[in-house]
Amino acid sequence: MTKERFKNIALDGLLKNNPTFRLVLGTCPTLAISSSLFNSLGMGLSVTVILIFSNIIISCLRKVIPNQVRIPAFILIIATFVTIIRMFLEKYVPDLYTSLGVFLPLIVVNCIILGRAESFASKNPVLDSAADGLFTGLGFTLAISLIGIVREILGAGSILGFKLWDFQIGFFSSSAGAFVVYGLMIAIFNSLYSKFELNRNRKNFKQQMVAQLDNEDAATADAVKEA
Amino acid sequence: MERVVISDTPHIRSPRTTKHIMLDVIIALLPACIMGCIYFGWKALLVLVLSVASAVLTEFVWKLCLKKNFKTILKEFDFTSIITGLLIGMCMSRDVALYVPVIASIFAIAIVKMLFGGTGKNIVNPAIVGRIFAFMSFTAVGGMATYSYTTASGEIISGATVLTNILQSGLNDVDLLSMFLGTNMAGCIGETCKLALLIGGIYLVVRKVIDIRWPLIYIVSTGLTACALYHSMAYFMPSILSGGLFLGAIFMATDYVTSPNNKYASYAYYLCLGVLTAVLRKATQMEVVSFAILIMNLLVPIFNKVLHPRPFGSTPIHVIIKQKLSKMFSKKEKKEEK
Amino acid sequence: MTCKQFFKSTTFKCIAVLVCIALVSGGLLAILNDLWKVTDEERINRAIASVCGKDVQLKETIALEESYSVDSGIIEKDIYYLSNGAYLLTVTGNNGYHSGTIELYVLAKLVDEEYKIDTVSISSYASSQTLMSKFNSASLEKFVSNPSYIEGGATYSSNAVRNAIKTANSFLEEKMPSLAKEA
Repeated sequence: MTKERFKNIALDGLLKNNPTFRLVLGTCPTLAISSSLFNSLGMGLSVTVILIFSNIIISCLRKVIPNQVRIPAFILIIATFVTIIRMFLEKYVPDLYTSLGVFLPLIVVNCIILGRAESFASKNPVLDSAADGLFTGLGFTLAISLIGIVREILGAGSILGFKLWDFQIGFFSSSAGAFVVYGLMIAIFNSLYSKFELNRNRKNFKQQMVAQLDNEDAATADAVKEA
Repeated sequence: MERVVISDTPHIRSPRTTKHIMLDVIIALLPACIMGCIYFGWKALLVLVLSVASAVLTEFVWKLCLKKNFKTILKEFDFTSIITGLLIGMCMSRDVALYVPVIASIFAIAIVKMLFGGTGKNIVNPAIVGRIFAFMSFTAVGGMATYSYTTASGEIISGATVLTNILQSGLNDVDLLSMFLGTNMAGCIGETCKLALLIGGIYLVVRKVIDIRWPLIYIVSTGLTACALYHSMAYFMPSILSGGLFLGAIFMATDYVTSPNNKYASYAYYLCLGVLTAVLRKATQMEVVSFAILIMNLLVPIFNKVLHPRPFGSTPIHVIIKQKLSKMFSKKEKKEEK
Repeated sequence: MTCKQFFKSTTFKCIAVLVCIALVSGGLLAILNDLWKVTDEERINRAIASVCGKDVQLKETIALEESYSVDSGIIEKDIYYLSNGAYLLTVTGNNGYHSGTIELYVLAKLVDEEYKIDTVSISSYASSQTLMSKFNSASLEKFVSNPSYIEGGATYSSNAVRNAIKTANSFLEEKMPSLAKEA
């Protein structure tokens, strides 16, 4: 795997194919869990770990699993890892386990994991899939943590459990506020991303033109030399 | 031959603009505001002023952030944000903490009106959303659940609103006249004096800003549905005269942008609004006029699309329905044959 | 299809792959379940830690011969006698939202020859109680001090909590003196 490919996968997972803000996948846990930063980080990290492991295994088995049963096979593998994570959290981090509640088993049918498995891991080698899983999970964690920070500061006046002030706007702790904050964040992210994309395309275009002109200069110089 | 005039549309002009209509609405709201300030004191006036000021400032700041010239903003200013601020202020109680109407106004104008494109492009009524926002966020703070009022001797007593009493403990000690005039009643600033709201409504009808049918249908259907739900006609007047029904029916449900645009859809819309308000009031035991209006605002496009008046010569509705039904049944026959 | 044809077809491959994955995952999960099991004792310790704090430990378990059930709730699980002299009861309160129940941990201390409720914490609840986020430790204290307190907006769930506390109070009056250990 070259450095170029690694960079492409990383930027894709974090920015271009950000599962929460660009692909709008996995909105159910995003809206339900993001009421506090601790819960968001916990959910994001669990999804990242599950993504990495399931991507690795599915990529290893991609030549073995026949096409007709790929969805049941993926679900089996993902469910195994979700159960492992659930047992681990129940034993060692019970606070996070109780606050995630029913959304931890729901990660099995989270569209992010199934979507990346279907579109990337089943067609690419192991290291690429692992990197893609890592960066997609990091993109999801960043997105849900941003929403979690806004909702926690405005809705509960605390951050990571430390109370900052007494002023609370109850709207942002509720699900209605989750939708509003989520929508506004999608708008802000997409406007910033399109500006970033525009600048990158302009830079690439300029580089292309400069390279073309250099080639033409070299070609005319050769022609003059021969003549 | 007389002179023939050829010109572009519009051929009928009138000096009436959005500004004039909105000024009429502000004048109609003034009696209720004045009575609210008389009943509840100078604190009520402060709440109203703050909510109007924050609404107008939000609109100005938003347009300035879009890099418009200040003079153009002043020229474009129609008084819609003043009305939104007034309505939000009238829904607050006297003892509310002062940041509550400010934040509710900012949220209503910025996110519901300006984010969607300004006047005429909002999908729900911003005053409704501001009221719901304040209700959801600040119930514990500032006492939006219990209200206080000044008795004739000048004492300040706090208690639950009349609507809460009716819903929870039934019809007893209900004084219809005092509910109508708003004396000695706990409630929001603008909603207690129904007489003032009625005067404002009649002014709007006389100036041809709203149609008399629609608030009438809303209020009457709420009363009748409440009577049907509680199985007694005695509930008609109290359920009409309590809560924010008058304010919602006359000023908020009839907003031009968020109500249906033709006659048939309007009949169905206001009827559904009345039934929904009465049913939700019984089911949730709290004031639901704002939630009912919000739900129906979101359904207005469907009403517009389905219930539009057919032009003369097009197929009438019953023929269309017959054709669709026969198509459905013929498809079933074809499937059975196969 | 002949036997050999069947073994070469995709149907067999599908079934074989799925069965293999299921067996491997099943084995892995069984090993990890043994490794990471949360025993009952650990659950009790976590419950005690959530109500009293980390220093208190379980001294003895008093088993109930028969479950104590009244109109408002049930006490069926064991009572735990803690190292700081207090008793931990598990009470289930009825008549919640949609007839659901709420289970509380009640800490009872001996005050002036009588057993009184000291603190209360929520252990579990039916999935129909959707407004449980309104009950934090501050609001639960209000339930203990004021017998007719209702949490704003969560009337039915408050009913269940009040019923649980009422059950605990009546249990402490009637049965506790006979069951209590001589300290």
